[in-house]
Amino acid sequence: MSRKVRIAQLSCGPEYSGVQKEIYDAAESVGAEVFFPDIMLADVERAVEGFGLDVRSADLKLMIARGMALVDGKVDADGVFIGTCFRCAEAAIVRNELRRYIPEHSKLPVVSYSFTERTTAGTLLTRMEALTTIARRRALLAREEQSGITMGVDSGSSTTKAVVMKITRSSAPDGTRRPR
Amino acid sequence: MTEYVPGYVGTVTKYVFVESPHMTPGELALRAYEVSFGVLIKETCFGLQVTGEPEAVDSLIAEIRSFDPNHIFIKDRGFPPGDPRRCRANLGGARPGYLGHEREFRLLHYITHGLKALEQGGEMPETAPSPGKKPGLDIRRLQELIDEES
Amino acid sequence: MAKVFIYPATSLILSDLVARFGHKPLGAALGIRERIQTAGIDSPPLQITPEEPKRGLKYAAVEVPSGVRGRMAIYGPLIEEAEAAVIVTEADLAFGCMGCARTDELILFSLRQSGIPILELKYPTNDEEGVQFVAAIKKFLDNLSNGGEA
Repeated sequence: MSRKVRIAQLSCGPEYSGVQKEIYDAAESVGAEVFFPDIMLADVERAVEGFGLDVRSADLKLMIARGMALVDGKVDADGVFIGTCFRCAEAAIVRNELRRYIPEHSKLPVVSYSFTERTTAGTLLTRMEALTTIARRRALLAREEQSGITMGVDSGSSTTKAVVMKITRSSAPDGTRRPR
Repeated sequence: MTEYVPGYVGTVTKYVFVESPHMTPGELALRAYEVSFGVLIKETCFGLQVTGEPEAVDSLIAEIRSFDPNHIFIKDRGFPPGDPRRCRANLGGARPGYLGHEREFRLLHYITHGLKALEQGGEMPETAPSPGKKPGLDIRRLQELIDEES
Repeated sequence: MAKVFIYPATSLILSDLVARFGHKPLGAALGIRERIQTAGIDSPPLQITPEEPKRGLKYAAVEVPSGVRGRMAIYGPLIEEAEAAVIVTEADLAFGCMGCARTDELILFSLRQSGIPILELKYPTNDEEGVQFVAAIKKFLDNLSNGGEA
């Protein structure tokens, strides 16, 4: 049996919304385990200054600190799940900034979701599956340069979108090849 | 949906923090074991966790406080000791509340100082460290500064 | 003995001082303990099920985030039960049960609307403020025992 994919959870509020079990169940059903990055109070204080986003909620500061610990390599993970409450503006800002920050500064795949008390494991399943697939098949899926035919799939809660790209010969003056 | 069957029903759990030059958490644990009488004691890096029937825990806490009243601090805990839902080994990292304890631990020696002052008696200050706003600059002083600059 | 709501509700210092001076601190741990020791549907880690944010509708409207309503389901009953409150207003790093600034604001508002005696102060940053802090809380709690307001 292959080892479980380790997913770092950066979140604010799932325990109090009653959805933490749904996150655990969704992860387990795709052969992953969720954990919380281990950091100290001094890491939170450094992160608040270093990241530059001065939020009021302490649990959001904790999220930022955990995200920075992942990027700095202090904590090992195969993927990152970012989750905050739907309708919380402060949380949405942090969630989006972390979603941008982590892939920019590391090779960790990231999935993010804003939950309500009605969120179920089924809702999270496609996201967890996408995350674990990228983590397991990283070598196959990661391409620095487009070549051949490539398809990208975005499986969302209501629609699934796909982009197919094929390298073509280009008439560009410098002879570069561009995807079509 | 899985059914939840609770454990330790009817018990209370309390944290015992010790921040003392005279007593380590290990020493505190040894002294607590001597007077525990059926209360479960778990040693931690910062002191103890005690779990048992409310009356037994209250009785033990009163004894523990007497060991070093100004350096021992007690707080309720919702979970019994070693619960996997809160254990660092299971979660992968410290639960969020632990960081809050780290924060307050840095302030305990100020509280100890206050408790010692209270114990010694004498005149106690009337004012509390107030969260109120700092007063603004007086308008006449502002005018003076403007005149100096111009 | 009065029931005193402590803010932050996870504070070790406030919980200890209120209990030490003979009153009952109402903190987050009491609400969590009640849920941990009640049978129902498994909902780790805190046994807060998706029903709790619905109970929190009593204190916050449906458009308020679910995490706020879930936390208010714990704090609302404690605030209703409280006969007094001790508030540290500049508690910057209180995590977990006090980790949501929106919930914290709503708790403070609810306490101030309730009409109960309230002591507001800030954490001490030196020994002198530590003495003031302890003295202020002792004086406030003694006044409760004597039946007066702070």
